[in-house]
Amino acid sequence: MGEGEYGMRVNENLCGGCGICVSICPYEAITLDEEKQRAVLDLEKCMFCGLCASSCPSGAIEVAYYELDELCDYVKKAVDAGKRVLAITCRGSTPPEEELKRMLEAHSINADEAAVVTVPCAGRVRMEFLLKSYTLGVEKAILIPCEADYCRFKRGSTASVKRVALLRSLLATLGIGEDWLVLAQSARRAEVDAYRCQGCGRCALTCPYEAITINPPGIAEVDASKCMGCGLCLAVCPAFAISIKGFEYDEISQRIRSEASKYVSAKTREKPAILLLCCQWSEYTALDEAREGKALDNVCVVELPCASRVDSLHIIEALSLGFDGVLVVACRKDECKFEDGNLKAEERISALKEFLSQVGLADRVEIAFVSPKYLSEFRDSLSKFVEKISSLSP
Amino acid sequence: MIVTREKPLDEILGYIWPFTKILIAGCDGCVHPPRGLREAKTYALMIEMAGKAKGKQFECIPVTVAKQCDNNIVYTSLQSYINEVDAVLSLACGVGVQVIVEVFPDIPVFPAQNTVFMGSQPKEGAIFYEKCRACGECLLGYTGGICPVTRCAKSLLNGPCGGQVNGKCEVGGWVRDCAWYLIYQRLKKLGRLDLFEEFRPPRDQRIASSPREVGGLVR
Repeated sequence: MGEGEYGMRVNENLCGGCGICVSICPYEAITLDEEKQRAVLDLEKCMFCGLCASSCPSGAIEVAYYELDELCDYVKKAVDAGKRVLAITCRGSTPPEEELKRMLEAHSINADEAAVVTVPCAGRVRMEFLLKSYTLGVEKAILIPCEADYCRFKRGSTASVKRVALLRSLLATLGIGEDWLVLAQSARRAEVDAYRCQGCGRCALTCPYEAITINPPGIAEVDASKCMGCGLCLAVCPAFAISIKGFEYDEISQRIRSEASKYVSAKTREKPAILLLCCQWSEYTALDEAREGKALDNVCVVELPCASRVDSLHIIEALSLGFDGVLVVACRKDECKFEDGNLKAEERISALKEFLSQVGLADRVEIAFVSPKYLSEFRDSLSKFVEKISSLSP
Repeated sequence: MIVTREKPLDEILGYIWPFTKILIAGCDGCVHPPRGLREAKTYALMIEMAGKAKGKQFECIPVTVAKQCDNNIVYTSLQSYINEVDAVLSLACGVGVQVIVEVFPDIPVFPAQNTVFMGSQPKEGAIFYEKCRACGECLLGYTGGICPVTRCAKSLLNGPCGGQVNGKCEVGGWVRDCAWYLIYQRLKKLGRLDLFEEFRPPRDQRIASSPREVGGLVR
């Protein structure tokens, strides 16, 4: 990128000052310099959705992650490997494997033939990328943005739906046929297991979207039109009665358990075994590498929809299994994609630390606030944490 | 709900130290914050970790009971585990601990909580406020729904004392609201200040003397 540590910049030589980015930015983070007729990015306000970059007609906004070339490389490799269908999902709503399979089958796509690309927001996918994929030999593409009211970046989903419509008519005009590109939408919302629910009301009191009510005779009910899927209710439910597909207590717990032996046996004084509980909006590269099965330096990465999903019991479990430290990775203080989920996580972590101090483990749990827009922030926080854990007596 | 606070882990360890297999019994009833299966699992892990650090291998079985104040539910929920364990740690209020003792008289039962009061919490994570002292002779109908027995530091029944300044109570340094000030303001708002003029005889303190018993027949 060449622009210091920031992950995004406006290339002034390419910017024509059209102002499309100004009007599409959901956070009013871009203004037009009237005099120079160039877009100016306010990095403090930017939430890093990438909508500006994908809508810029001259490619003047450069983003460090998921660049066109990088994505095309991925597609090329996939096509070579015989995967001729491209499925683009959004990080916030990527369905778990089984469901994705069903979704693809509904569009008569064989899941084994599909290469899945997961991006932080479907709205950041350039139309150019889809057309390039066609030229690279992709036989069919499916774009799966979040349902409109579920988008973490307000307008990302709507933008991608409109782009699909536009592209389909272009494809028809070109004679490729509009069915080359299809659209499906997805959301991961909380569901209550009425059999387990004890009706304590904790979820209803906690939900930042007032999406939960307790119905007589005392069973919680989630209003799907209000639930944004942050997962805070899962973390506070005393009876494990709430689930969000892929982020259930049991699912995460089993993951930590099954991975523990690998990390714990590999630990040394210099490379302690670390568990990262990572908000999917605070860090991109480590999560992508984890999805691809590449491990960081003896760091086990677990992806969560929001830091507020962090479950204190998972942390206690990890410590009891022999992990040397647990780092919760949350978005920067004013950058939560939900309602202050990061601050709520911070409060709960501090209560947990007090509880853990009774067994002398308080120092082994920390929360870090980072943003993917500052490129080295996450790595710095992680290495600082690893250093601290290494300095503790085992 | 019945509000409880966690006992220090060391105190709990002290109780269960002579035993190895511990049944951790949560309660899904009115105890608050909720001490159900999540808390039972949490305590199981914490006890095992703390034991390990001190050179003792505890074996904990975390379970939960729908209501620990019900003998029948306690029996059916715990009976299959009880012969396998050396002791029970109850996460319920003081009632739950005693019910388990009654139902299973042959096994040691210990509390993991201090039961503090009956109260409420305005929102999740917020402070719990004491609201009722189970005095046995509810006055809320006369006092605009605000309990002087619980919320007046001196449990006065006949209006505020001289320690009230600008609606705040002298106990604790004029931070908390004076219950009688609240009662007056509320009755004024409701247009029921006439209730203050009604003669009420002194309370019969025998009603609140422990141990209390009441009939349990259901219509």
